[in-house]
Formats: sequence, C-alpha cells, structure tokens
Amino acid sequence: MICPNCKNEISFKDDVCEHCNKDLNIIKRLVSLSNIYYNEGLERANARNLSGACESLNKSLKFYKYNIDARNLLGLVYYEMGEPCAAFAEWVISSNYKDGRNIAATYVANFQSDPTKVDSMRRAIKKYNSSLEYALNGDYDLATIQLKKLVAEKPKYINANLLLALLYLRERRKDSRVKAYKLVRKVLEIDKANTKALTYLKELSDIRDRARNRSRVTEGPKQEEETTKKKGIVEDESVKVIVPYQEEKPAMLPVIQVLGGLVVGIVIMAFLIQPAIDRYKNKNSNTSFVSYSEDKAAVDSETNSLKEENIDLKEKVEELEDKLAELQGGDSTDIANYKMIFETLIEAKQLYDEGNYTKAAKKLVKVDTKVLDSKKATKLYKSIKDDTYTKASESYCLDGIDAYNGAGDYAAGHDYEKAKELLQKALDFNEENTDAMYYMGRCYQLTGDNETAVEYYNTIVDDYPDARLYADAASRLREMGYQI
Amino acid sequence: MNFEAELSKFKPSLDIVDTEDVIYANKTDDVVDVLKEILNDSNNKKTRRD
Repeated sequence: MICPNCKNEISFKDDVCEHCNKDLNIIKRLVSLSNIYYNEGLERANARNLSGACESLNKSLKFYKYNIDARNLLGLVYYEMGEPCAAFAEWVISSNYKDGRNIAATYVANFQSDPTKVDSMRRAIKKYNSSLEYALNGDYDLATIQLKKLVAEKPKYINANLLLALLYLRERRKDSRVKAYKLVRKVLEIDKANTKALTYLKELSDIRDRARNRSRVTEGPKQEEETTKKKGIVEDESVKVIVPYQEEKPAMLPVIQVLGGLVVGIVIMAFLIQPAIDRYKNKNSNTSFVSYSEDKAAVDSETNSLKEENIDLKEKVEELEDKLAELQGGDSTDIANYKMIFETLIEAKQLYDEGNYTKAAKKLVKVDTKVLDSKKATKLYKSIKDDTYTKASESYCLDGIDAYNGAGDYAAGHDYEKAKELLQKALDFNEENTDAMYYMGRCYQLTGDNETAVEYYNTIVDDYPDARLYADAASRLREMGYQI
Repeated sequence: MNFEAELSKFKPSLDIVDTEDVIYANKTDDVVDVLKEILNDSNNKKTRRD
C-alpha cells in the first residue's frame, strides 16, 4: 500500500510508516474497507454485473484512492462498457500513483500506440454526444440515424445502445419495440444488471414473453430448458469470466467488400461494355479498310493508266530508236543521198531566186520527192517547182524550135534530132506544152515518122482545143489524109 | 415509463480532451484525506486553546 502522508510504498503489516513515522492503524482500517469493496467489485465484474462492479469499485476508491487494483479494474470495466476515455483516465491516474510494476502502464501504452483506434474512439464518443444533444433538443430522427450507425460500429457501447433503445420505445411501434428489445438484450449480455436495461426490459415484457413462447414452440422441453438457461440473463446470474483486454483487430470486411465490388465491376465491364468497345473498334477498322480500299483502287487505276502510257511511250521510243538507228547505222549512201537532195533543193532555190529557172529546174529534177518527209522541204520544193518547170519548158521549147527552124544557135541548118531532144525536155518539164507537142510532131513528120507525128497532132486536137497551134495541128492531120 | 425522465439520466461520455482535465485536476479526496483534514482541524484547535 501507499502511505497517504509521504506517498511512499509501505507494507500492510507495518503499523507505522518507516519513511515518515505516521501512525497507520486508521489508514489500515480504511484500506481494509476499500479492499472489501474492491473484492465485491471484482466479484460483480466476474459475474458480468458491470454497473454493480462500477459502483463497488468507486466506493473502494472513495475509502482509499491509492487502491491501484481497484482503479485498474474500474478502468477495465469502463472500457468494457464502451467508455474508453474514462478507462484511460483511471489508468493514467493509477500509473501516476504507482510507477513500478503496474499493469495500468501497459494499458496506457496500448491505448496510445494505435492512433487510428484512438481516433475511432473519439469519433464514436463525439457521435454519441451529438446524438444525445439531438435527442435532448427534440431531433429524435437525427439522433436515431446517428445512433444506428454508431451501434453498428461499436456494438459494446452500452450508453449508445440504451439511448437508441429508448428512442425506439418512444416511437411505440411494434417493429421499433422489437428493435428496442434486441438492443436491451444485447446490453444485458454485456452488463447483466444494468439498471436502465432492466427498466426498459420491464417496459418490453410483452415482447419478451412472445419471444419466450416462440422459443418454446420451436424447441423441445429439454432444449427449451437449455435455451432458457442460456437465455436466462436476468433470472440466471451464471458466472461468466470477463474477457481480458484485447486490442480490436482491424476490420477486414470493408476491404473485402471493396475488393469484391471491384471484381464484380470488372466482370460486368468485360461482359457488357467490352463488346461495345470491340464493335466500335471494328467499325473504325472497317471504315479505315474501306477508305484504304478506295484509295488503293484509285492508285491501282492510276498505276494501270501509267503502265499503258509507259507501253505507248516505249513503243514510240522503239520506233524513234529504229529510225535513229536507221539514220545513224544505215547505208552511208542513203545518208549521202539525203544530204545531197537537201543541198540540191537549196541550190535550186538559190537559182530560182536569181531568175535562172532552167538551171533551177534541172536541179529540182534531181530531187527525190519521196525522201522529202519534212513538210517545210516539201512546201519549198513545190513552191519553186511550178514556176521553174514551166519556164524551163518554155525555154527548152524555144531552143527546140530554133533547132527545127535552123535559127538562133542553130543557124547552120535544120537540126531535127536536136530539136526533138530539146522539145522532149520541154515536154518533160511541162507535158501540156502544146507548142512543144506540135513541133515534135513536125520533126517526126519531116523525118518520115508520120505515125508518131499523128500521135502528137491528135493529142493537141483531142485534148487541147484551145491550144495556140490547134489549127496547124488539124491542118497537118488533114494534109496526111485524116478526118478532123 | 417517462421518456423525458429516462432521457435526462443519460450523461455525455468523457472525451479525450476532457480526460486530460480529469487527470490533471484529479482532486478526488478519499476518506483518508477527509480524516486527515479532520485531524488537522482538531490539532489546530488544540494548539489555539493552548
């Protein structure tokens, strides 16, 4: 025990304090009384009469406040009744009174070691206090709602259970009364002689009797006896060992429920939402594929047209290469002839420009018109050919007539052969030169070839009635005995 | 059963903040303290008479 004077630890057997020499006889009597009440409190606590234990232990501490065991047990009882802060206060005071071997220090350390649990306790106490305030202010519904949650979280919170039971009793509905009965039964399991709970149970006697009758009907007589024994809370004060202080295990159920919800959600998504996502993806893929196909078709079409164009171009290139090969790698005389023809043409043009039509015509005669595949060259050839040939024909015709008449350069005498030659040239340049025809006929006639002469005369008479020498040609024919 | 009367029996629970006050202002006197006081008073009276 502790000396109340010097606060030192002393033996109960000593009559005088060894530290301060204080007489301890009266103190010892008071300590004895305190211990009697402590024992009573312990007995009641063992019997689960927590309210009774509370009362006895408080009395014990009234006689001797340094009764460490009583204070520690009182803390335990408060904790079991759902009043952790009151329990904590008793343990702290106990550990202050006795530093050494004191279980209260362990309780305090355990209490402070888990801030989450302390926070949970604080919240529960605040909820209860606010619910009580609501109820005192007349907000019974709010109080009921809050207490329901609290009772579910802290089922051993006796005051919360009792307050909720009282609120249910106030409602006076049958289902509320049944709920109140269940709460009261729960409280009496924790604290068998709780005064409030017993008062409410008396008020709920009809519910209690109904419950008893129901249990008798469903069970046999022996079972009923056992059930009555088990359920005998108020009547049967059976000994029940108080469960020692244990730390609350962390609630796993909410975590499991959350995980289960996640799994269910994932499964639902897989079965309901995923097909829609797949359809959307497929639709996009199809759209992409269609547009790709269209683009590909356009590209293929363009490719085909390009291929055809390529083939055409290749053919043209081959054609040109052949021509080039022909030109480059062909007979050298062909190239020389080509060159000569163009040179001749150019010379003919020059002579024409100079007015020397006869020479120009001679040059033009050498030009092979088949070779002239250039439009310009052909045009040039034609432009000078008509004039030069006509004038060349006339020139040769006059020379031929001179040779026939023995005049001009042929003043020595008639040279019919030379005349034929020159007149033939005239006809070569212009086959419609009727003068040349007539004098050719005359040359043949005078040289004894009447048959040929007649051909020339007939040509003039038949084809050229407007010819200058038409009459002469007709006269010659009549002369030879032909009818016109 | 009188609801209001029963309701008035309920007292608020001790909060952590209140616990601190209870611990530090622990002036619970037990019978020993009362006796000490009585004895002190009686001793004081004796000395005054003397």
